[in-house]
Amino acid sequence: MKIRVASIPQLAPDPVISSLSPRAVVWSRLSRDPWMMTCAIALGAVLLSTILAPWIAPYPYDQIELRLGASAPSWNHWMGTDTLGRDLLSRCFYGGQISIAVGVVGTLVSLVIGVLYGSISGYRGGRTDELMMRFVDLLYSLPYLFLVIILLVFFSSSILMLFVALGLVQWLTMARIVRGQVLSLKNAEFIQAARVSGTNDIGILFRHLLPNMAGPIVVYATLTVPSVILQEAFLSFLGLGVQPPRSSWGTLISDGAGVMGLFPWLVFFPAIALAVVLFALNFLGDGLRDALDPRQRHD
Amino acid sequence: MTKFILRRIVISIPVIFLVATTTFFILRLAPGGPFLSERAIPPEIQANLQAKYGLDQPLLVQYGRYLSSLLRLDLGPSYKYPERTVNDIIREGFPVSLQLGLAALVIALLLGIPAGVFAAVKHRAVLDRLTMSVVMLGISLPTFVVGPMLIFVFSLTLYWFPPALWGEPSQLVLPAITLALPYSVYIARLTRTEMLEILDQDYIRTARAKGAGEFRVLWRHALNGGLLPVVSFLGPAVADLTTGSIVIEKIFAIPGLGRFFVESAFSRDYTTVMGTVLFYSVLLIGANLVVDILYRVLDPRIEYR
Repeated sequence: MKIRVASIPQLAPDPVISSLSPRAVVWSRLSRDPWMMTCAIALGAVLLSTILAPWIAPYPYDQIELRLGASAPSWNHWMGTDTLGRDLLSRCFYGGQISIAVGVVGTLVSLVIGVLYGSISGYRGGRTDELMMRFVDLLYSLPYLFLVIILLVFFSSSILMLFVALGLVQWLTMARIVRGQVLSLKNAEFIQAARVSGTNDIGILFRHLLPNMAGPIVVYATLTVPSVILQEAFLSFLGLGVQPPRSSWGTLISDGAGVMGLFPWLVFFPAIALAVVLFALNFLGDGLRDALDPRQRHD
Repeated sequence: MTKFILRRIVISIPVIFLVATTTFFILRLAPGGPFLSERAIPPEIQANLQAKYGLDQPLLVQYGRYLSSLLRLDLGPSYKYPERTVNDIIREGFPVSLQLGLAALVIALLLGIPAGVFAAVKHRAVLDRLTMSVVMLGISLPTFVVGPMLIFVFSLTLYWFPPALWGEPSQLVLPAITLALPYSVYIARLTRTEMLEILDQDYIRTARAKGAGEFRVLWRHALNGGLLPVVSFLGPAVADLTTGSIVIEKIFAIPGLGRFFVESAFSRDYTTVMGTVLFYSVLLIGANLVVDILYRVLDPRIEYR
């Protein structure tokens, strides 16, 4: 008997599938959106000005000129001077360095802990997962800000402590997100293929799983930075943040808020700087999330 | 349901024990103490004070005493205000913080939910963008900027509300609004996202097809499901409202528990610090439990575990 070999159906090129990679799709969505680009440019400008602070700041941030007192914005001092006669523009540049550094480092700390914890929990699954997630649930119900305040008051309120304390507060949600992603991906075919071809657990986690959940992680990290910056500002307001003569936007605002009725510019400019960065980061984070959402691919 | 609640309560006991233990040892291992002030106290008096509060005993003995008094729900005497116990301080400060928090929660819901629904209905239109931008501005301004701003405008310029202190309803307005704004923002975003998803679903089309008016579709059919994420946000929100009120209480000079906590932390009043943290932990665990129960009532698809 003759065996008939079924002819392989010719695959017609699908006209709908575009040749863009996911990254290109996201990029084109973001760059087409004028709101997003405005936010990105504003954020970039502020970032640049804080990084370049040592070169572009017109005065040293701690140069006291008591003779000036708190003077209103002028040609020599674009944002005016504070009650000790220090140039506010320079202090805003340098303050931004600390605020942004705290935001970024705090987020990185939470990222490392959250990703490791979440992926281990999701990847092991079963009882380990159950136990680890219950632990996260429990930690969720602790008054964190209180614990951070205790750490900062009772030990030193150094910047290092600030980084650690704020990072420790933020990792919980990251761990949950990562765990959810790992759970949904770990039985996918490409992971099975990797396992069959002899990749060990660590390889699977870092080479195969992590790159595929970069989207949600990046989105959440983008949204974490502003919330850490805001928390640093809170702590500064309570007198626990960066110690003088250094200052963050938070300490500048809290100093300015006290004399708001007399010298409104002292709170106005640092508040604007903080608001621009927080607004831009939040907006970009939301935009990224929308752009990464596969359900919206069709438009 | 009862089993679920009981299980959660049983799980919470070791957590509370853990909180008590960690705060106890963090405070004791840190340098400094409640009676080491800049003012030099004669060593005899110092020793007497230490002895009176049992601070001269070995650490483990102190720890054991602390735990046994906790079992009797006694949080101990305050070191800073010798005439009061920590229980007194909480009894005094907490109702104030609670009123403030609840008022803020109500305002946040009243502002956030309609804003979110509105933005979802006008999705991608200019009005959606505008609403969400205003809303986003709300998160971008920290409460300690908004607070003084409100005081400046409504108290010092317009004389509508008193700028500080506590006791009369009119003194609740500004702090409650200040505290509420960031939460109304989160609620608006959550509502918007969820509503966008729900408005696409079949049962909404069914409701429309059956001739339900747009208003009814939105506020009855869609919002019912749209509120689920808001409800689950309320657990952490209660946490944030209580801790967030630390700053508000400072700005508006309100004698709430948050302010007592910060003061006691700065003056190393061990018992008050431990007592407040423990009290808030119990409160938050309770709040989260209530939220979980609510969640299950609202969404029958969730099973009890």
